[in-house]
Amino acid sequence: MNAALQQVKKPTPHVPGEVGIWVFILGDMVIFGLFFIVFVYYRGLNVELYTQSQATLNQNYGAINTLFLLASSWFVAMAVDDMRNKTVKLAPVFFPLAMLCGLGFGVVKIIEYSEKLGAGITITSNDFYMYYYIFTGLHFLHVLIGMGVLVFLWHRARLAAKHALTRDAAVIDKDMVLIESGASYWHMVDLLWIVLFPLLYLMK
Amino acid sequence: MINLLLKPVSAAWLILMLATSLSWWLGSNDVLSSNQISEYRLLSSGLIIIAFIKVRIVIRYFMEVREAPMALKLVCDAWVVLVCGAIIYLYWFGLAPTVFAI
Repeated sequence: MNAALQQVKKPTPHVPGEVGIWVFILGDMVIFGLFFIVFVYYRGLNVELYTQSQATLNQNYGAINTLFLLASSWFVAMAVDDMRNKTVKLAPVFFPLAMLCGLGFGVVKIIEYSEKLGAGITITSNDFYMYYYIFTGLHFLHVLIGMGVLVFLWHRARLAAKHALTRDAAVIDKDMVLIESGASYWHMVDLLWIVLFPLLYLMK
Repeated sequence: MINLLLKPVSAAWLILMLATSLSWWLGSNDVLSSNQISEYRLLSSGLIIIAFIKVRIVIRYFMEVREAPMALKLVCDAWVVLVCGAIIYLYWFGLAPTVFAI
């Protein structure tokens, strides 16, 4: 086997999606990283209050929502992989399935919020609930934006499935930049919840 | 369908689901309340570390950073290590003096 062939076989490093989206994703991760650190710092100053307040949260909601986002991320990852083919088959089905999981997350979140608000627990109740509402609220905003992104990816997938005949390498490459950018954003939404779950619901 | 489940991403997903279920069980009140303070502090640290291992799997396999240039890999790993490290440090040593005396 000659050197040229070997080079073809070895995948060259490639940034998934636009470089710009990664600036945004990493920026968002830094901001949430600071949120997590601030939360644990203030928790240390008043452990009793945080533990007591945390005991009123329903861990099942946090866990089920983690599973929803993980399943959603898997559908998106599979759809992205499918979009790399000339003939797109799975993506037009998997993007809506991913959105369905995102919807499941939203429904659980709304049930959870209404239970808390119904019990008279609001953002001003104490420091723990303030962080709880701000962090989960900002995260929920990311989920809503992500759902919009998934609608767009679904639209691209349907177009790709329709135009299989004219889908050459150049078209696929151009498509993948958009698809990978959107998918990376959605995975980041999943990633942030993976940390929020033990931080808010489990850590004693 | 079988082909899909054999992909590395699917194996990663299975591990993530199992890790979440493990955390769910470990973090449930029944398991925690039966333990001494020192034990549930270790358990909580374990739950945080499991979460950041999950985060790294998401970054590597779902976000496909395993195929990205070294710079992006390093930045992502730095985030995981710094944020996880800061949380664990503050969890153990960031306590108010009165609490720490107990």
